[in-house]
Amino acid sequence: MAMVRYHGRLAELTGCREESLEGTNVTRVLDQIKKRHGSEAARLAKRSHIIVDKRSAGAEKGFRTPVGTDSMVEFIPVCGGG
Amino acid sequence: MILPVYAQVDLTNGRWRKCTISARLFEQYLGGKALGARLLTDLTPAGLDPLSPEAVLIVNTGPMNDTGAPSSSRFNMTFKNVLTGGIASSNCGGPFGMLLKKAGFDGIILCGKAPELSMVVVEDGKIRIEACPQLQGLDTERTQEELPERYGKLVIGPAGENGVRFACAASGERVAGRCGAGAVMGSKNLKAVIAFGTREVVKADPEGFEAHTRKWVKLLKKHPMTGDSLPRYGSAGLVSKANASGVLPTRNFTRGRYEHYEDVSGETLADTRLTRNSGCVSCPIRCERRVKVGGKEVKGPEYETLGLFGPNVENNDLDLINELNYKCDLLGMDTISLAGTIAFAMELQKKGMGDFGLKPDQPEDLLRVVEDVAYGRGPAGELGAGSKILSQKYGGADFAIHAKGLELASYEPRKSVGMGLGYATANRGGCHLNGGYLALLESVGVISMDAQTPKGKPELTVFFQNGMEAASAAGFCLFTMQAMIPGILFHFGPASFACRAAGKGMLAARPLLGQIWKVMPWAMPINCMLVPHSKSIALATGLPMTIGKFFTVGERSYNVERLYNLREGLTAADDALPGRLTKTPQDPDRPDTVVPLDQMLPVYYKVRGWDANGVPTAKRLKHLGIPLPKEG
Repeated sequence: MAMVRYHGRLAELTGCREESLEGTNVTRVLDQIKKRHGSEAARLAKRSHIIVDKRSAGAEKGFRTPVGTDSMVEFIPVCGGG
Repeated sequence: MILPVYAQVDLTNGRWRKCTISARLFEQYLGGKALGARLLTDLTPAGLDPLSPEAVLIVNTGPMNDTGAPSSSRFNMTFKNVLTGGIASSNCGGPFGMLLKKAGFDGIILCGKAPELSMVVVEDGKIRIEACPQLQGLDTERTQEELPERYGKLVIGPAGENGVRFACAASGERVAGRCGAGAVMGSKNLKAVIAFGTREVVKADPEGFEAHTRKWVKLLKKHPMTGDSLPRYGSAGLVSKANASGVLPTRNFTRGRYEHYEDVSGETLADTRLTRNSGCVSCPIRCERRVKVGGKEVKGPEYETLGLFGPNVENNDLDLINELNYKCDLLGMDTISLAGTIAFAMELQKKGMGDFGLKPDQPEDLLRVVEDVAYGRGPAGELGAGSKILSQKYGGADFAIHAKGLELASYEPRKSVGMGLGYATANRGGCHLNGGYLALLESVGVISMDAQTPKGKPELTVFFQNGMEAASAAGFCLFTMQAMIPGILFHFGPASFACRAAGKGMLAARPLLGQIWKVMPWAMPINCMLVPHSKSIALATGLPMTIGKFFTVGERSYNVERLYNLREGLTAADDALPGRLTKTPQDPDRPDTVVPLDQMLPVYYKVRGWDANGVPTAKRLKHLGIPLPKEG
């Protein structure tokens, strides 16, 4: 099971900062989030920066980025600034 | 067309006169930093000491100030950079700019030195200089409290009076932070400039302008960045992603990740310290954090301050950062340069190359250090010179984290190489915004772009440097430019095909972006809501502004600033970064985690139409309508 960490609003919505979820890639992890916490949480997670083992899923294979059993998957809100 | 009116004030003898900016200069430069750079170049000889009485300080607005356009309250300070010796522009969202305009002036040009501590009073088209010895030594907050309430105020604190080279100027709780504007005011015995008036801005097409503004505000409020994340987390929200991307400067830029980053993240700030969000006048974004320090509600830290007074000095105490931020504002110092210099001094001290009385294992001691710097007290007082001068005295040039003398902002560029190019080429020195802010595309924003490739980065850097330069010239907040990123991408998410394709597409567009400046402004003879700024300017001023002309204002300004730097002795050799960032990989097992400046700079110069030595060619200057610099 991969360790999943939520930041910002997603942590509020899921009611936890960390939990273990099954999934062999990002899409599967998102499915698990939807099952456990509902569509709104899954939607927010999908719109977040998704970091798998310290690498951005956007820079890897996107939602098909593999997730291992000992992976850490982080969901960080997209922010702006400067 | 109503042309900008400026006042030229000689602080030495108290004389002043009005002058009107020509229609040609107005159309070419608009105002703000662009017009400031042109005027500074024309009004000063080469080689002046930036802190001498002969040095000139220009405080000006852009045409959009006080029009009610969204996020348009920014005013600018232009002067010879105290830290780099080149051009300086420092931007502020405080209420002074709006009140200066209401007082009948679009800008004020200050020279000379007052015989005693003084303030300039601008009121309904008139100017007078008053001695203010009673304000000596007061912090920026007390100073403003002592001045009449109805005025817009621009003041310095003790650091400016004491000649700290990165002293800032404050208006309300906002500061013109970078490059030493406060030191320049202090060198002129100028404690404050205050302004009041009732003049209304006359718009060329009031109805059209109102309709366009309504549409634009709606767009900003609907946009996921300006309508949701910035109000919710402020720029502080970048800490977590910066850490994940390896661009959060840690321990004087030795690393890009900090193990305790969550303690100082925007989410933690929002969840545990935020009392409310706020914003500048006329801004619908409202990104400002409000926090409590000592039971009092004050302005909270931006991302830059969190990063540099946090991980970069190994401090994970968020309350302490809030307090340091407030203290720097009170004393009147730039948090970026100060925190960067402290991190450098800590490393010097650790290596036995100098002793500044710093206690890196006691973060709370930073409060004492900040005071010592402001008052030039004790060994830490030396830090007020900035890291470049410190490195010249004590060594450590390879890890003195500045460009041209200005300390780098809070993006570690080895994992965002385009940002590295931006830092190196920014006319005012190590600034992320003047540098084009590619970190937003490469590392912290919604678009997923290869952060390590040098390909396409010079072209994108030039594009965004010019765009942001133009926004500043008009008086707009740069955050309005972030709404140019299509909102739909935020709905798909950074891991989506759309965001990844956007990143690849922007890099693939490099042949087009590399050539476009040759055919500007004619390449974009339109206005559209993707860049609402240009139409807003056209409706407010009556200038025949298009997106192409808007970006050309930025390009022209960038070239004028470059010419100023060259005139003052800066060369291509100064388009550089410290060795730590160009030679030592951030990840020892990934040789590509350095900034490949040598690969990017020649392309950057070519895209800019500069020669191999980084000098603007006569052809490019002619294209932009910039007079050729005088020989010698």
